[in-house]
Amino acid sequence: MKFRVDEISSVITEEIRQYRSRVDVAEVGRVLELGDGIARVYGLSKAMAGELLEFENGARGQVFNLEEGSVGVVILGDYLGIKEGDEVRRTGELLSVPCGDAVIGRVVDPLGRPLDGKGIIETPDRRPLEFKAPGIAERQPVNEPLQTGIKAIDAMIPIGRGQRELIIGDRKTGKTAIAIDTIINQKGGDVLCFYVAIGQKESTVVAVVDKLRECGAMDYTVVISASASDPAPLQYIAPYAGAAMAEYFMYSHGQATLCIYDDLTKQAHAYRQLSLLLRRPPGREAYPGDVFYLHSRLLERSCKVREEYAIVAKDAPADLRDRSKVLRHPQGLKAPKEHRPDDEAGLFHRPHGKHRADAWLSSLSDKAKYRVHRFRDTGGSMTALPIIETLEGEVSAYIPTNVISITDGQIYLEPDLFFAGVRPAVNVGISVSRVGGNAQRKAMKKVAGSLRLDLAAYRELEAFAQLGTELDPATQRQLDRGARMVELLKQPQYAPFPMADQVISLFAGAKGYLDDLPVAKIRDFENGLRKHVHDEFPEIQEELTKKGELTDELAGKLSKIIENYKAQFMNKS
Amino acid sequence: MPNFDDQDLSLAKVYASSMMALAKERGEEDPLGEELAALAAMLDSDPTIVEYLSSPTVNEDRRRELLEKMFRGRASDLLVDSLQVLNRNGRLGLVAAVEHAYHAMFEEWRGRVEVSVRAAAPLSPPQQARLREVIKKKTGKEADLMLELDTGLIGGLVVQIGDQKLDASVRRKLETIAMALSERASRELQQVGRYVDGAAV
Repeated sequence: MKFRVDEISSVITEEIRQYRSRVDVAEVGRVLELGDGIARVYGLSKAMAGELLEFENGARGQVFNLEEGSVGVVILGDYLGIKEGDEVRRTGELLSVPCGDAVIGRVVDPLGRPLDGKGIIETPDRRPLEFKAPGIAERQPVNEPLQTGIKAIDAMIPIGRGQRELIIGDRKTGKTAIAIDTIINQKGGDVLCFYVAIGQKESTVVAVVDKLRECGAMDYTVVISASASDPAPLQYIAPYAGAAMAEYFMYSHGQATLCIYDDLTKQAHAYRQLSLLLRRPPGREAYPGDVFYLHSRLLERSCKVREEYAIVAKDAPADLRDRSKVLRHPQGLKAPKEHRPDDEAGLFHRPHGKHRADAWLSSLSDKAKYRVHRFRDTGGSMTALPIIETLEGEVSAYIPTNVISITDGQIYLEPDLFFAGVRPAVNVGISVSRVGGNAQRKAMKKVAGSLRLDLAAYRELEAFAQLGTELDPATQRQLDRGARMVELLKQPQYAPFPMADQVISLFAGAKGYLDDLPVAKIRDFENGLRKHVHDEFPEIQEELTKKGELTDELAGKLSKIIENYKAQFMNKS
Repeated sequence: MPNFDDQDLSLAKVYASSMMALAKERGEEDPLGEELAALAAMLDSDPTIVEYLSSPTVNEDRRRELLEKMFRGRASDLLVDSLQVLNRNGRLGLVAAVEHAYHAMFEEWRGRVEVSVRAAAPLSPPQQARLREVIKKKTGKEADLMLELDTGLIGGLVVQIGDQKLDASVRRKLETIAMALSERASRELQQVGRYVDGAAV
């Protein structure tokens, strides 16, 4: 190995040449007290709340408390190298993280520093950690599904793009498993995933990253990790860092993103630790008074951004963002209702606006010269899957009730179901998705409707099943159907089902084709049917995926296929 | 560097501002400041007096009598009256903080500011005068220079006015250039192939 001395010395010469001698002006303070990851700094009278400060040893801190003669600082990073009396300087900046394409596929800490040993993250774009959630006018109702690939969820508790759905349960009930399966299911789709690991064991995070890499999910996922050995301030800001990175894609590129916060209970613990050390008054369970705000401001940032449409020239580029190049209605906001734009710039908002734009376009005499254009930096979304760990199933504890009231629904995981073999251990009876059917495709809505009824009836009658008494045929039928549907909803880990496959499985169950099969054979039947349709009739899956509708014709075709396959299956066994 | 409790500081400011207002009425700002400084020095040298004065077990009347005996006639009426008010409110433990707050307000009012100057070599009187001139122009205040020698700076000056620190020392400039070089180096190392033959890129 030979060093190219000329190249190296030319770089050094250039740097020295570019150096401009300046007086270094900074506002400084001195460390009064230090310990447990927080510091009190004397001076800095002009420091602002939430500002970033820099210590002598390069560590950074965030201003937390502003007091009469001193400032309470939370240290983000190594506080072991800081001494009392050290100088602290203002940076004048708010805490921000790098974002952009450079972070995709990486494992980073909440400040954007790489943890995967693959080099510095070079990107010109940064976003502040704290960001005001969009108001009502900037949003749009959630109307597109986010497929998790998990039958129980996509059928009964469907999640939409822009929704916040809480995953709540005791330890070891499969909360993270649901999150990972959802990420894996986005392969081949257009959703960017952000997995924020808060306060977890590093070995667990390594296992997760490994699994994601194995399934090819790291190509569209970012992992942000503040593990259990990281200082409390990093665990506190980790979810906000994830949200900030996702927001970049949501606002600048109109992309759909998914943020998983695993888990917010540990973030609340870290925040409690910081607040108590900084002498903020403790409230219930020793949490500070603003622990609700801690989670509400994070989760409110998840939304569906409103889509903006306009009429543009037919040959305008597909990625046109210049709002001045649109065709405006001559009557502006006074145009007739069916053609009226939504703002002074002549733009149309939300899907309803698109209908109006379409209507206006078709009414134009020279319509062939134009087209309806959706601005690519609008219509993005951030779906949030926060995870909360309960103790002994206590969902009415402080933090769980807080987060339940913030999110748009909950997925309850119960240890009893888990140990009874129902995995994913989702209690579909009390789990809820407040967006519900709006985020489901028509085909799924059809088969899920009867599934819900079957399971509800089954739950009512479950007690009788245990008694083992003689039951009337109707009750027995309900029990049999219910037991088979429960079996159908079981699913192995890391094996997400595409929507079409889910529809086919649930259709078979809903139409009663499984009622005379032994429960133990249901899984084999399902797998076999899936493979059969995939191999022999791929057009069925294609049609379902593309149109999302289960027409009567398609249903008829499917019924025949299932009957034939069933005959085969019964003969073999 | 003073290490007063934040709560004490805000309370002390309240008393100091009233004392200042009264002193201005009577034209006694300077003497009061000096008296307070002397009092603070005395209390600093003998902590038992402070303990006695701030102890809740000592009767308020007893303390009042003691204060009268100790100070009436020897210190200005304004100071003794202020001490009695502090005593009545049980705040005699704040005297040191009050002195500190008063001093800060006084300097502020006088348009004076303490400037800490560290230099690698002693500043000549014309240089000090020039520095005072520049500070007067920039801040409108009279500079009270606290000079310190620090050969570690190699050359140049470090001037601190309140929270603002202006570092024009040679050491700082060398540090800046070292940082720039190492940042550049770590970026260039990403393309190690440009600089080393036979290295894997």
